[in-house]
Amino acid sequence: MTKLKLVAELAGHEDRVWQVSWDPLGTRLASCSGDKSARIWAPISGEPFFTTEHSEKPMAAAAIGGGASMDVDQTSASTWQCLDTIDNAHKRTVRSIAFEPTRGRALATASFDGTTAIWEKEGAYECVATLEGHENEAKSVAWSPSGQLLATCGRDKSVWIWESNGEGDFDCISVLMEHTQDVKMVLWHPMQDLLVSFSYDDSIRVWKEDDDDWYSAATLTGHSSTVWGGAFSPDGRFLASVSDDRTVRVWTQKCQASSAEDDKGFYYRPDSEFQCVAVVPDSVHSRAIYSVSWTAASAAASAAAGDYGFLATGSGDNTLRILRVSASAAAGATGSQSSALDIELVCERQNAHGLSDINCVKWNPVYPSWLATCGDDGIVRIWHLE
Amino acid sequence: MNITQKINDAPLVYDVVSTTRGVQDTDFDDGVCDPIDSDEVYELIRNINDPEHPLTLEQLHVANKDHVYVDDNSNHVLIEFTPTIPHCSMATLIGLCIRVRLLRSLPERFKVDIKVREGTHQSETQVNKQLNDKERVAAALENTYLLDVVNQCLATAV
Repeated sequence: MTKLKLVAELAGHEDRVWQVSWDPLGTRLASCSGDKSARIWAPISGEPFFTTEHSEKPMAAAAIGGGASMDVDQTSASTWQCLDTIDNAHKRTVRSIAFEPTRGRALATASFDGTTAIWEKEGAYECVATLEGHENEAKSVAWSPSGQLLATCGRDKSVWIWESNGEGDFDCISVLMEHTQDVKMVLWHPMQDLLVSFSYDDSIRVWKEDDDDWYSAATLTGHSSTVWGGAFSPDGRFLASVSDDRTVRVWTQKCQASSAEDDKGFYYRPDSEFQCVAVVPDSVHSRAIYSVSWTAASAAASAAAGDYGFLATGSGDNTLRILRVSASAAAGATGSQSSALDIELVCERQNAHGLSDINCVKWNPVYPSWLATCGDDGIVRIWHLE
Repeated sequence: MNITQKINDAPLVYDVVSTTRGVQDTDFDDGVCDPIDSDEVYELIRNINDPEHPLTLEQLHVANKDHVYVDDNSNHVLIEFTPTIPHCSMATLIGLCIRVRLLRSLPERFKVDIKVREGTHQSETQVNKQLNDKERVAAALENTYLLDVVNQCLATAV
């Protein structure tokens, strides 16, 4: 019987918190907010935090302003601290934040002021580069798995790809203008240099590189409203996307039967074809879904073949939901290699952030059953799934 | 606003029907919780000024009491407003003014949906989508010029 336990509440931001990001070691959490600042949080040093003993500490049923179901560890205030606050980050809301995924030394923030700043910690966090180019609000920033490329996107309908020049600065190598509306989020594949963008124009675009030239390899349509974001499965085979139409869709790349010797001409670029293999109906979430994150099945749970882990979704209906993804039972019956999936709601937490929207959910990359969420109430919360 | 050519030069102006709610005994009882109803929400928006004319949304029949739907229990408010003409380019601005007014006056628990009354505007899906996208609204409200315009419209809604 899976359940979610609230383990820590990180308060400090003065406005809604838009996004959180774990560092590659899973021991630091960065958050960014409408109060124009970014904060870095960490467990109080000396304590190994992500152990089951810690999550099983006796809970005091604290009555927190009407949220009687919030069992908060009485000592949570003393288990996490705010290590750094980056106050002079930007002139407007900081909308997106991401730790560099190989060494976690650099941090990128994207703001409604159109710029993306790169920070490195030398004592305090210092801004080592400012990437300009977006005509208006920048909405998302993401590092490629190698840490060499950075993608940003914004309301000017463009996706920009930047490359590290080795001296801490970045050069713009591509500006992709295929979306017809505001681009809400960009996401890299966990292993390959493949980029996905999610847009207000209801579509998802997959971008690939061909000899240093980036192009749109696929357009995934199916959502009936703004696609707010998405997440890859940890093995990179599936992509989940969430939308204002209250559904979650899971996509996978169709096997390409073409041979490498096919010479379709000088300008031929291998397109990818994606198909939607699962849809969580709009009856599950009652308002727009803003964020999704995918974690592998934990070793303790039945990690049988066909168990693809858990999705966490954060929604405008104030509820945090955990869904289990597994291979469809029907696949075995027909005997065919069907990639259909079953998604089942296993746990939900209403009013996870009080009576406020949840803006971002992120599983810890190293400790797979720990989750960080943030919302319009200005608070970042850490949960444990058990 | 410095526009020389108004979108709608001669809007229809309607009389304001004033209604007062009778005083009840429960009004003086602190133990009784008064739910927020459509009357109260309408009261908040009816005197918002139109961006182009010195007239309120009520006088132009842009805001209608019958098109304000409030459910206090589920913390939901839906407002449908009617632009005066189908190609009104002020529709998004009016919707934004309504949103800001409610953001500042209603308790935080409310989820507010603002829509153009069906069939009254040629770009109603686009306007609705913008008005209900909280990220777009948040970014718009950081634009000081736009915020000034909104505040001017809200100056009469006291």
